[in-house]
Amino acid sequence: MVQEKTVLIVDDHPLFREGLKAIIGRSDRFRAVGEAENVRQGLQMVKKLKPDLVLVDISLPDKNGIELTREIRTLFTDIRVMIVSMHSKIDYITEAFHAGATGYVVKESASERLLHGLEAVSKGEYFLDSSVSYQVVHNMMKFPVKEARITDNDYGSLTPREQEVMRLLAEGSASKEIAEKLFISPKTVENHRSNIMKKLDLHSTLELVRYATKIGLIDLELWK
Amino acid sequence: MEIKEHKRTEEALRLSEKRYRDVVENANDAIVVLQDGMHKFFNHKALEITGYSEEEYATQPFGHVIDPEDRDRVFERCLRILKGQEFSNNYPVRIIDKKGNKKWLEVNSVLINWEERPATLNFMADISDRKRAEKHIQTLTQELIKAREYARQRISRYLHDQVAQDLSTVKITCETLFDNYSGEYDEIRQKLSKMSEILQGSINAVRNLSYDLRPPSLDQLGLTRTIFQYCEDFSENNAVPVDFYSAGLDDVRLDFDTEINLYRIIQEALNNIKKHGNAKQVTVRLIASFPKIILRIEDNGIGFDVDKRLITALNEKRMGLRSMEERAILLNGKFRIRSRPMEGTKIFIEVPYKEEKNGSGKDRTDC
Repeated sequence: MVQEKTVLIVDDHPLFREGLKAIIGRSDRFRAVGEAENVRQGLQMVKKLKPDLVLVDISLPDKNGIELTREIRTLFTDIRVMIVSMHSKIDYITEAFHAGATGYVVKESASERLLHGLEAVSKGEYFLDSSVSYQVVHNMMKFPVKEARITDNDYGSLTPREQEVMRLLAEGSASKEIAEKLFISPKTVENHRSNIMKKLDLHSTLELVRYATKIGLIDLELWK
Repeated sequence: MEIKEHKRTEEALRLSEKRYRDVVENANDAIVVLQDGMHKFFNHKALEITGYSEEEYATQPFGHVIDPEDRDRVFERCLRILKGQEFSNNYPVRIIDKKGNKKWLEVNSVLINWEERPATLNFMADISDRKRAEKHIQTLTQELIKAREYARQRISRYLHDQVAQDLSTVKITCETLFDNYSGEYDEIRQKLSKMSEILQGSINAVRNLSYDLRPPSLDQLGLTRTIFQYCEDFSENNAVPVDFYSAGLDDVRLDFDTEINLYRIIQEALNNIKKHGNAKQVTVRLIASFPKIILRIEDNGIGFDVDKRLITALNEKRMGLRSMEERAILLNGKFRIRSRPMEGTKIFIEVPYKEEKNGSGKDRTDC
């Protein structure tokens, strides 16, 4: 006979915990051994009961379930955590897996999928509720392609002061005007200018203006 | 005979001067002639507005009355008028009256000859009350925007953390109600399964509503990723490609009001484009340019006449353009829009670069 796995439930809704217990009760492979209604209590019970698996809700009254997951996984690497949450957005799912959870089920699919999840997670596999996995895969598919476009790392490496000087240069101000405006010496302006050119790999004012136009710092057509 | 003639002319002149005097003295505007930086001629209204005596007003340079913040601007304008280069009217100027109160005047000036030399003739209306009312309306509008934003947050959180949560609890209870009964309850079981389907529908609806009211990822992923996601979703749902570029804002957490309002402005702009624009391509760019942040939203749609749109929007009680502007002002920023029929629309917004306050980070992670 296969050994029964013990499960601890951390959720602040008593009736929902009842439901989870009932579902766990449908299988003879799992047994609910305890329940907690907040992070503090959850952590105590984990230490006391050393369950095989913990079901964790994200929205809890004291701290959030992602923090609890992180603590459990740091203290006991062999205890598996599955999130059972209302949240269905990719960011929460990513956070949960980062924190060390290996399963994720949204609350309303619990009765259908909880047992599959427990089964997978207890074997050391990852489990993701199929009602959210479409979104996750969809995001994975497009992020690597497009993410490069949303940001410009070189420009991000400019200091606030360099950003300020960059815009004034792009708008056509002379070093002397910039110096007066920012209350610094023309020599300092020149230093900023050469740093900007180096960081952005630019070699002339024309290139600088072109670059500034491309990222939207200035608009040559209508506005400075 | 000659003396009689002379007297008549003199009488006529006196009468004519009195008539002009009456007009000038009873005018509702202050009327002032400026020359060499001094008040060379003025009516009673000028004294009433500024609170000075006739002698004080006549002997002190006019620059003294102008609010120091406006002085350079006013001097420059005077010079341009004297050179005949400027004709702009309804020019707002702040002054400080004798008691030290700030007042708003609206000035109309013309170039005249005064004692054979150029001078400016100025008509000035006290518009302080109107300015105060405008300021008041603006404050109210902004409070309205803020209040609406907070209400949205609260409703969104309540829907997500309470209503959807409770519905899920009811659903799981339905689904496990008969777990410990072995008898035949087919009819009831069927009803329960129907109920649980309905509950699933409600949960989805409530959740979508909650996510619509407030972008949940703003807290977790930050502004640029959230906007990126929104643009992606918008492209997909509306078949209008939206390219989003950001520069210098990765890993930067801005103050909450800045983040939510920039996000709303983009939402508003894209919705406008969807409704009216017929655009084939939209570009959204967000650039850190310390001490400002620049947001540009540009499309190649059919464009529109901005002034006409503002009027029709006002008549139909739609707030699109105005609310974008109000949000920008709320952040102490600038809003400009250029649109011409057949040439697309360009929106430019510049707001102060305001990073998240220390310690407020904790309140935001409300998962």
